[in-house]
Order: sequence, then structure tokens, then C-alpha cells
Amino acid sequence: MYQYVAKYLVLNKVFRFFEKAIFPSIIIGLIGFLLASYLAIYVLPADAEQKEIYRILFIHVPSAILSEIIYIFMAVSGFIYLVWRTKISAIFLNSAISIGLVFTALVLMTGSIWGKPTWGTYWVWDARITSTFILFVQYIGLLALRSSFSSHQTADQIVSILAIIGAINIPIIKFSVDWWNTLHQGASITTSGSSIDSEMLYALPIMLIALLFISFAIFGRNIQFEILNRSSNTKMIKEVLNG
Amino acid sequence: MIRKNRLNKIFIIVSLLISLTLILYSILRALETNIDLYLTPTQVESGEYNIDKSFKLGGMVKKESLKQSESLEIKFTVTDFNKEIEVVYIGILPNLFKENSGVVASGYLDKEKKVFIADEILAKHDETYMPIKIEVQD
Repeated sequence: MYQYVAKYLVLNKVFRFFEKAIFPSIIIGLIGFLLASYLAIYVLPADAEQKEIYRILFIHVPSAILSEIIYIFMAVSGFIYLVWRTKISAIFLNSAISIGLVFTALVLMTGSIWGKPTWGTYWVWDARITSTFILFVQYIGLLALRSSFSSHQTADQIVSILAIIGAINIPIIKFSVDWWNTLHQGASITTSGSSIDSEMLYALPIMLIALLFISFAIFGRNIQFEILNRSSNTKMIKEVLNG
Repeated sequence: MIRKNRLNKIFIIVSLLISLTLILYSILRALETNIDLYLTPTQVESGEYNIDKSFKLGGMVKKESLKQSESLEIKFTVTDFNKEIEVVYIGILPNLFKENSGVVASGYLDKEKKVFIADEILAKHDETYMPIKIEVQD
């Protein structure tokens, strides 16, 4: 009996934590997003080669980083769920899928818009682009798989396994530009420094952090929804609904 | 302390991942010549790749090799600073196409004339970004 109650107490704490955290993090995220957009569009100088179009970098690169980070987070959560059977990590995994899908779609869309005026094509089956497209399909697959089981437990197990297997694609995306001859250029920011001029770079970390905060807020709402969904008809729900 | 059945689970997951990575690696290696990548002039001349059908040629546009006639026909040389191949193309070029910059051309190799007949030209840009005013000062 104690275990049964304790299980819900943990989720209850998580639920209440996000209830407090969502509002400040969405505010910080939106301010950061507006600041970074303002810097990227009006303040930073145009690029010598690509002129104004390079400014799409400030949404393309953070989305790319996030689409991969979120996937790694999901795979790690899935691993923890399979080994330790902690309910909360399954909830983390489920709540992150849709956010990762949005960022992967953003990467493909902004990349396509960027590709036409610079490379001369909207789409090319280049190793970097193809592997990112596969990531996009993986996210859709996880989303579809999750909703095709009637029991949460079966769904969590299968989705965890698929998320872990799919993580093989992440190093492929990262190193595709080094392993193969690709139209997509290599990494600008490496451990040995950045080949983006420092005068043009600083909006990038601001945008990345802002998008992290926004994602965290949406992630929190997804978690709350997931917790409510999984514990419907329990005492906790009634307690929350009645304040 | 991790319990034994958990260690077993970790072992199963890790071995599953390693074996799938190996399978994927073997598949990619086996299909390497069939992946639609571009070939550098050195790879084209090495004879290790199938260049009878159409393929993609990539490299740098050699300095002072770009010739534009009035009839939209463009000739230039693609180099990888080792071997070079002449390219002929009729059509509109992307904005970033210029000498001493990256290019990927799709088309086929005319073996008698030793020229590459391109039907699509894509510009490949590098990973450096510099403010516009610095170039003006040069």
C-alpha cells in the first residue's frame, strides 16, 4: 500500500514542480528569442559570401543542435526506463518526442529555404540531409508507435527500445560531413574554435538557450499532461482539479 | 550496487546496440559505391568508381578557368589540387558559384573529349562566415 501511494507522490512533486517552472521559463525563453532574433536580423553584419541570407543560420543551427540533444535525452531516458523501470523516465521520453519532431522539421525547412539561394537547390540527397530526414522519420515513427498500444507499459517498453536503437543515427548525422563527400559544409564550431567570425557569433548561444527554455516549458506541459493521462481516476487528479 | 538482472539488461541493450552498429556499418560499406555522393577528380581518375553512367563531380572551381560565352555556355575546370577535369554546362548558375569556391556538378563524363557534361550545377560553400565589411577593406 505504501509503495502505491509513494509512486504517486513522486509524480505529484514533478507535476507541482512544472506548475511553478513553466511560466518563468517561457518568459525567459520568449525574451531571449526576441533578443536573439533582433540581433540576428538588425544588428549583426551581413556575411561576405552569402550576404543577408546567412541570417537563417541563427534558427537553423540551434534547431539542429536541439533536434539531436532531445533525441539523445530520449534514448538515455529509454535506457534508464528499461533498466531501472522508473516510470518518470518513460514519461520524460514520451513528452520529448513531439518537441524533437518540431525542431527536426524546422531544420529541414530552414535548410531547404537556405539551400535554394546558396547551393541552387531546395533538396539534395546528401549524407547530412538524408540522415537528418531519417531522424525526422524516426520521430514520426516513435509518435505513431506510442499511440498504437492500449497499455502504457507495453508502449513505454517498445518506444524505449526503438528510441535506443535509433540513437545510432545521431553520430551518423554529426559525422556525416566528415565521413562522406557532402554538399553540406563541415562543422563551423569545433573544439578548436569557431570559423564563424566572433562578431557574428554571439546571437547563436542566446538563441540556443532561449529555445532550450521554450522547449523546457513545452516539455513541462507535456509531462503534466502525461502524468494526468496516466493517473486518471486517481486521488491525485481530483486533488489537482479541485486546487 | 547494481542488481544482477539489471546488469543483464544493460548487457543486452549494449550488445544489441553494438551489433546493430556493426550491421549498419557493413551495409554502408558494402553500398559505398552506390551511395549518391560526389566524386573528386582524383576518385574519378582512379578507376575505382563506376563512371559510365551519370554521376556527381565535386571540387573547387580552378582559379582563372571560368569561361562564359554569350550563349549561356559555361566552361570551367574542377580541381581537387591533385587532378582536374574540365566541365561544360549550359544553364543558370547559383549565386555562390565563382572561381576558387566549391562546386558539385551532376552529369556524365565524355570519355573521348575528356570533358564532363553537366546538367546541374550546385555551389558548395565552406563553413567560414565573415562580416561583409572586412572584405570591402581588402
